[in-house]
Amino acid sequence: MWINTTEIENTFAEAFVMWGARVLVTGKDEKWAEVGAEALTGFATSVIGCGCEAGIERAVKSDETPDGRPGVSCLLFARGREELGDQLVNRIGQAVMTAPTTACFDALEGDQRVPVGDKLRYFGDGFQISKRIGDKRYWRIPVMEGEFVVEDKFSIQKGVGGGNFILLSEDPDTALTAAEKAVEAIGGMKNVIMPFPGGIVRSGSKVGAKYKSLGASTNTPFCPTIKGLVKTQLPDEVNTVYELVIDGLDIESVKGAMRLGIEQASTPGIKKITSGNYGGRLGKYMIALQELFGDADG
Amino acid sequence: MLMGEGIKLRLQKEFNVPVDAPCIRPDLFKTLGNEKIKNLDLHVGNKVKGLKDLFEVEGEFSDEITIDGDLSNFKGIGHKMESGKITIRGTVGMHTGAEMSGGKIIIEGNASDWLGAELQGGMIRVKGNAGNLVGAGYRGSKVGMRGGMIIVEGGVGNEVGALMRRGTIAVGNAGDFTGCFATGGSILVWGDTGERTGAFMSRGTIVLYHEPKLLPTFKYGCAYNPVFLRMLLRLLSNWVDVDPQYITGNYKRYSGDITELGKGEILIWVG
Repeated sequence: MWINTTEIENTFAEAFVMWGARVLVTGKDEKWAEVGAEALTGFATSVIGCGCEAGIERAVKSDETPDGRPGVSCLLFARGREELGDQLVNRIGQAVMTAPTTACFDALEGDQRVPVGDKLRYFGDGFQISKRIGDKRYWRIPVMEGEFVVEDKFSIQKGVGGGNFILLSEDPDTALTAAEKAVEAIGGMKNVIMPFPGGIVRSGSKVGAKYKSLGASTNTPFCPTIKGLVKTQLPDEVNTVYELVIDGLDIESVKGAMRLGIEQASTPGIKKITSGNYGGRLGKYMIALQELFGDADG
Repeated sequence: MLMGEGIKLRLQKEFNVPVDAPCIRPDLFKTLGNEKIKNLDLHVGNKVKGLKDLFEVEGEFSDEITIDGDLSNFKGIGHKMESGKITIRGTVGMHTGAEMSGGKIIIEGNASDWLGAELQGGMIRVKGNAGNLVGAGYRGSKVGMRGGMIIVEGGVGNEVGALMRRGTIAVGNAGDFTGCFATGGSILVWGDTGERTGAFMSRGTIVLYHEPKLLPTFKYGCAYNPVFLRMLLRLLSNWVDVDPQYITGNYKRYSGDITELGKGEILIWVG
């Protein structure tokens, strides 16, 4: 299958069940809401080494937030419920509570809830105050600036991690430009994030390594510099590869983001788009690239 | 459950003796047919009469009741109701909505004492004034209002929110001892307050928009814009006009009553 001059390989992305949460960070203005959100989602590219995968979903206007201030919606994903709960407590406690003017709210209507403010409240050293507004409970923790308000519990739900596609390009600039175009388009979508820096991965990984201590190592079949030394998956003319990873709250959102991203990235110079999988042995979801486009065939 | 356009009750005459009317509650009505509703017992003074003896009853039974007439001597309307809606087109007597846990009561006139006493949930709105002890706990109770919302557009008497633990009360003017003995919840007074506001409160929030005469057992903390109050005011703005400056403005925070736990607060708007 082809889109424009780009071949879409007949393969599939293998995605996994993860647990997801949506956190709304508000602040005095857009700047401080973003500061809090960026801190919350920092160092959260991969569960392999970060404990969770997180990213900014979208900016939220002040008339849509509980406190009437500008906000930023973030999605966090972890392998299990407990891990996600721990990540929420640690990240909100260390990254949002410390950020000037911010407050933190649950912005998901999930089927399960984990305690967050209920744990962070002890930082108030006995001076914390519980306040129920509507049907939700919040904690007011006294801080040097005034008060930090955080919701008592946050909703979580099963989501999807590891949606991906890989761009094979003749040259680095073309690859980066195409990847940026895809990231920009996906950035406007709800329910999905791209947790890697700028939404783009240059160091994709494969399962296992020659070193026993490593569970994952560089994706050698896609590394152009060692093409001649390994069983490569790269054609001769490919000199740069980027992977785009998408996590989402549901499989349809991930598929929609992949479809849009592939369409946008299918530009001259992108020789092929493929995706990473483990032969269907590990993940629950097999997202066939060509099926994303129905009967379309360029 | 059959749902019509609602039951309409029109008072046939005024009563000079108290009428105990806790059976007038929509969640009870919706379990009964029209005939059973008409024959519900009410205590009129020392006599028992049927609902149809006091009211003209119209409409089909449902979870909505509209009452016309001067109900100043009617006590306990909506008592312990759990759902549905009562609209009272007139003035109503004591204990209206007491201990209710859900649903809505709209009073287009005034309400008497003990409105929403020990309320657990739901909403009561009064377009006129209300008496003493709105949302309060009964004598001997340790806890008053436990949830829900009471909005009185006019003024209220003394001891509004006494012994309150949770929920929200918003009133125009308030008398003495607002929020006394409160252990939680929020009380907002848009107008003036009387003496000894927050006396013996251990927790909870009282928000004032006119400078009060504070007890010396409240200690000043700082002036700031509380985020939780922005949320509460935005929620309230669904039912009452809230000046946007109240949301964005600063408040002086006083902690007290320090003769008690001291974790209560009085917030005074400074603009």
